[in-house]
Amino acid sequence: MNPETQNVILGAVLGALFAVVGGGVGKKIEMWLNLRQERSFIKKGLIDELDEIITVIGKLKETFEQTSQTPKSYIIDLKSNIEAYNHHRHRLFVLQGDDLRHKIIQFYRKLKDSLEDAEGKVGTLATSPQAKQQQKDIVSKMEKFEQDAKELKKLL
Amino acid sequence: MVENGTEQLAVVKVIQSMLASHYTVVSNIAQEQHHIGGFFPDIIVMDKDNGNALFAIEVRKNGQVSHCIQQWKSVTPHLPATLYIVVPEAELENAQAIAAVNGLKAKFGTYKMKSDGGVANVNFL
Repeated sequence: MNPETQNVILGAVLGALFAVVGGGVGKKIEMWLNLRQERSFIKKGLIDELDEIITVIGKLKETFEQTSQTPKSYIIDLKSNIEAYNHHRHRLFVLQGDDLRHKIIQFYRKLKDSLEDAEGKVGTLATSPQAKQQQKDIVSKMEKFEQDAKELKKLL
Repeated sequence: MVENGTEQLAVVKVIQSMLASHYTVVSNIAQEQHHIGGFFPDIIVMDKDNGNALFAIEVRKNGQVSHCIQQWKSVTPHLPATLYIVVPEAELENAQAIAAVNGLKAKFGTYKMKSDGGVANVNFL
């Protein structure tokens, strides 16, 4: 084989190799960009939802301070504000940081349990000190979630 | 709808007059015209200032605590107000037990019937 033919073959081989390697690198970059985009999408969804949770708890507190009532409508609103989490739950692993993921899961799990628990307790026509204390306890519990939601937002 | 001349009607009227000073109270005595979440409880109690529904009150129909609880079981998770089921004092424990078994998240109220047919001791728990 003469040197000229050798160069042509080498060029073809290298060209094919670069195409394969280049294609692989391109694919990797594309995957990385998609992951970044999904991560940002999940974070935005959760931040918006946490904002809503903070707003609703703020209204619950304000209403309780003014009327000593804890209307159930706020619990219904809060229950509908775990949708983004439920939607992204199975893709949370794309978020970086074990601790962050753990905090998100814990927050929503505890919030869901507390809302289930509060559902049959909010609002009362009773005037007994026990009934009033029960309403106060619900508001205190929600206040804690408000703080946790603010902390979580900072981490996202 | 609440039927005329019944214990249920007497209880609904007493509750309405009890709560009217603090809340806006509407009932479905004459016909089913006030609804909450697509349902028609005997009484709907609303905030006087903003008109938001706070309580839905259902009074037991004669001998139908179980029916009443079954009826509301599927409604309460979506009901944007606290549900009260009002039963005779003597039936409270039974009603609470039926509610617990059925997973109904409601509060209870009680009353007593006097010998003259009047309603006494209406109490919300």
